[in-house]
Amino acid sequence: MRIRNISPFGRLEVTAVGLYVDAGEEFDVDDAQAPALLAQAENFVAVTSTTSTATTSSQSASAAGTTDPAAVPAA
Amino acid sequence: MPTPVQSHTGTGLDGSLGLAKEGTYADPAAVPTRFFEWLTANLGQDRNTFTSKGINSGRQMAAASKRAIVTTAVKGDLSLEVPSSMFGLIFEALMGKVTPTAPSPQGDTAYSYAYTLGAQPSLMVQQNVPFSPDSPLLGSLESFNYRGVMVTSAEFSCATSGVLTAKVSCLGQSMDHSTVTTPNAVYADGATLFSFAGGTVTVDGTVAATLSDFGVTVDRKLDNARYFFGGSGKPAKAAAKDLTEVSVKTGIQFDDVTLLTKWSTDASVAITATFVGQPIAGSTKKSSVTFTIPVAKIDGDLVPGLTGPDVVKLSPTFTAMVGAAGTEPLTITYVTADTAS
Repeated sequence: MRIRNISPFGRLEVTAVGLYVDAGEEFDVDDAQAPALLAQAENFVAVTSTTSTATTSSQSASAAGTTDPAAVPAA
Repeated sequence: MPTPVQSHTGTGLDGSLGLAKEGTYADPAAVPTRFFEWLTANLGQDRNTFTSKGINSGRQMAAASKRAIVTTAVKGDLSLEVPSSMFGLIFEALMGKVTPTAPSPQGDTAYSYAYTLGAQPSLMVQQNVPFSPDSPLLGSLESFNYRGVMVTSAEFSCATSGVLTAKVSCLGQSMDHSTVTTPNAVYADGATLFSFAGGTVTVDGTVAATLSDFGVTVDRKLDNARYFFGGSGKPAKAAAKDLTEVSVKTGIQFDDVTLLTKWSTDASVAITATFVGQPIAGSTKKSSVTFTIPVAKIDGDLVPGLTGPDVVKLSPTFTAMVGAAGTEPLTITYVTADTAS
């Protein structure tokens, strides 16, 4: 399964998969790992498109709307 | 490409601490979304039992069958170095109200969150405890999930040899646990700390040039000894049993009589303590934590004595109080790259 980092905290150290993942970056996890990460709705979302590829942090962060500097932060 | 991190070891090094704000008090489905590098994480479950004192002529000791669990509760402390990311959750759990401010000017990436006293949200706290290297469960973790956790007090301090740290005391309702084979910890990789070197304390707007110790304690005076029939022996949500107390401890050289004069007339002083960290990427600002207390009274003995050959030092303490209407007695301001509190 492919997952995207949508966290409001930017680059994450994801111990489940042993990876550092940039803001907006997509990465692959196996089916056993996915539920524990996707349960963290603040940090991760499943990538549903079958044509998705790894993206740069700036591209995907913008798409996810997580680092829009003009946005009012969530309380 | 993502970069690999190291695997786990089967020792305490694998332990992790995760928190989340509960949408519903003591929600059994809540999972942690923020993980912190812990110094100690000692939440635990208190269990009160009742043992019958009834006399049975056929035995001279209490019977195992006549013992019952009466009440349970969660309490304990977390000790952390305050990081430049994710910590807004703990500030909010302590203070209650958060007022976010968007980055300025447009294009900047530094967000500011102001925490003031209000109704506190509850947390779920997860302590993932590793099995020993000699265990057949090596590599697995026991996840202890503490639910309905309220922050009852927190002490922030910074020694001259260290960084800003927090001791967070908690009360909670329940605990459940399960064995997991997949670690779920997720850390903010860009988090940094707030060193003594970046600390500044002012009194009445003037930098305290010889102040060398600082600590602020916020005590919400919560109590969770609130047990009711129908509650299965678990406490209701912790509630305030007294006025919130905010106190500041300091150590300062005897430089002049300004504080002494204030103390002798019980005059009010204003205190700010700012801890500036590392630059925020994409911003001209640096991460920071600021404690602002507009009105405080000086406690303790401010009359210096002659105690030895060293520089004469004072240890004033300050108690924050409500001043002018509409002025918050304590504001904690967190400047961070986090786009959510």
